[in-house]
Amino acid sequence: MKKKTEKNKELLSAYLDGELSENEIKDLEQRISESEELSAELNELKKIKSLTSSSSENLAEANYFESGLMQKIHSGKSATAKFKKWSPVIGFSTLAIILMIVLKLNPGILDQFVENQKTTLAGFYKENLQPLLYAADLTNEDIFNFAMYKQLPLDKSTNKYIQLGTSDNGKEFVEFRTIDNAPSENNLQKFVTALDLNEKQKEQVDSIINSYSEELQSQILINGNNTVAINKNLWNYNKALIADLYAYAEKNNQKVFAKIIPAGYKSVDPVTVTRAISEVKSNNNNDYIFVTPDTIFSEKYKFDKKDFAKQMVDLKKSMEEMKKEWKKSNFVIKTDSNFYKVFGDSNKANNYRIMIDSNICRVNIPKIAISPDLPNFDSIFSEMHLEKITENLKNFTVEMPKGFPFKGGDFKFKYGNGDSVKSFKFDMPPIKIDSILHESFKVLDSMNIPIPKEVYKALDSLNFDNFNFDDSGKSFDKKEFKKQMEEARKELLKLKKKNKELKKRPEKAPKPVTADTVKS
Amino acid sequence: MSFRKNKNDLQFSTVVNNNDDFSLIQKFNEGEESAYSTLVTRHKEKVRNIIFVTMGNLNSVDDIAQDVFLIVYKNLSNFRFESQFTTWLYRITVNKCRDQLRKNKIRSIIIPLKDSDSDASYTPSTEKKEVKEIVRKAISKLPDKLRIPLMLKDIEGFSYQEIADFVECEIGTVKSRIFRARENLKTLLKPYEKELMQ
Repeated sequence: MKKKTEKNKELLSAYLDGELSENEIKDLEQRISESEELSAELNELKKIKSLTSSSSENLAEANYFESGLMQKIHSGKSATAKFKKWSPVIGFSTLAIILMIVLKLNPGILDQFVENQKTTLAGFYKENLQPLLYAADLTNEDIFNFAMYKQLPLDKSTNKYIQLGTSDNGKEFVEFRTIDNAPSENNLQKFVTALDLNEKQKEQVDSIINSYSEELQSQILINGNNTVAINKNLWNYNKALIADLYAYAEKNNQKVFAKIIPAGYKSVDPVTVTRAISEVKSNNNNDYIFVTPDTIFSEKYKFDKKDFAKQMVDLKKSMEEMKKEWKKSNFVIKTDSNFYKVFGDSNKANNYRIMIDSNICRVNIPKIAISPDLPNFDSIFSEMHLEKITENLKNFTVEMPKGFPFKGGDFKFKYGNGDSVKSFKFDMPPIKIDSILHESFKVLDSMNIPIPKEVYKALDSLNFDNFNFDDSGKSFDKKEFKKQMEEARKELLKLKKKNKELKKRPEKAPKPVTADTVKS
Repeated sequence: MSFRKNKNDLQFSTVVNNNDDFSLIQKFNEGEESAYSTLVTRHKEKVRNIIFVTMGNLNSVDDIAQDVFLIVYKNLSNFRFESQFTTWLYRITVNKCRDQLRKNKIRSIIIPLKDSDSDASYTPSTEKKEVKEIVRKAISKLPDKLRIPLMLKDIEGFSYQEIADFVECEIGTVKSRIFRARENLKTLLKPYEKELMQ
């Protein structure tokens, strides 16, 4: 039944297109007149046909059709065109044959060629390498931040930093990046303050940091060819510096160190630390990773520190000029969409690679094993930041008793927030101001009773200059308070004097009772 | 130039007897290049229109048309005079369009085509613009094997037999495909009944 209906509809469609024979038309028209359904279907199909027929738009005339066609015909005709069509194939085939012959005769030629090119290229990029950090003019604070935050500034004005880090899979890397939040300032000062070091000890901390300054400079080199050479030992320098600072802190103020260092840090034997540091420093590792605009490669490069030190004397003279030049050169890594595909050489032992996006250039650094190995400061330091120390310092608070001026109560000195640092308090004997005033008013009330000695004693004992209120007592003006108390004392003295004078005056005698007074 | 005008061209081209096309081909085969130019001038608009309605947009209409005439140029010497020149010419045209549609499909998988591509080709017409756009979009959703016969019938006015010759299939298949195309269109246009009634 359904099939028949479909067949009828198909006939209706062909009927509309004028594709039926006379007999078919006659037969169908008969059926249409008898069936409302077919009649409705015909109307539907008519509508559709009308819509499709009128759906198309005008097609603009082609003005240069013939000329274009003739060009195609003639370009396909010429022998040169035919040759052009096949020229890439012919060219590649010829080249392949030549290469096959050459390689057959001299198999090592390709390796030799590549090696030569590599050496030439490496030579070009290794020219005039200079310490990058020298230009950055590192301060002790910067080096201290390198230890704590693993950041070294390239250009502070533009917030360009070198950042060491560890990727999720445990690979150590160095990044050249613009950072949003530069490390907070005065971290070294906070560290020194927290450890409560004296002047001599501060100098010692400075000398520790200074001893790394020059070493660090030779770890990252750059030149005018936009080459950055990173020594693989850079990471170990970071560890050594932290170890050095921690060891010193622990030695000089074990109590504070224990407080500011988070749980999980295990003291490293000082001898081990010393050995590790000396190995890092004496490790004349000449393996540099060269990051260039064209490629990345790992090569030995000897940076002559002594020669550079000599140069430094001259360089320092023209420091200002140099700074300007460096700033002009502005460290730029040219990014290329294909650059991330470069994975260094095929030797898996040199497992480094570079990742670049719009503002970060990251290079993985292979580890250089040192013996003895230093602890993983990362895991420790992730819990302990200078910010926390600073917070702890802020937590030195003094709580004043409520209802100032004093109504009695305890002064509480708190240290810490109650979690990692224990709170402790000093109980001060309350100063009984209330009782003093109470006594004073008693005097004023009675006018007869002399001011007790303890009032004067208590007032005199209020040596406010010896009180050191912290910031929490800012609203308290001790000078003003002292002045007022002084005035109060003077008032009391005046009253005392008046009281004495009153006592000296004779009292009037009452009049005697007589007969006259009784009358009246 | 409108389609109605093209239909006149078609009428003209059917009025032009076979001998005329045949004699031009013969002249060309005898070395008279201008005969080929005359053939091109005579049939280019029809070929372009077939390409336009078959492809559903103006993109590369002229390119395809030139390729069609290039094939004709290269193969005229093999023409056997057994069918009308136009049947041969339009078959080449439809085949070329189908080739191009196939290539476009592969390309669209790799690089998705923009919707606007299909609209750029039309000369704006104020009359029932919206209705035409709705219908055109619905037609473009039809599968090629239904759409091409429908367009060749309703726009170009070819007979079922001619269409069967161009697409190289049975006449019954053409009849069935055109009917199925209309049925599908009914479904596709159902949501726009209000707009289409205006």
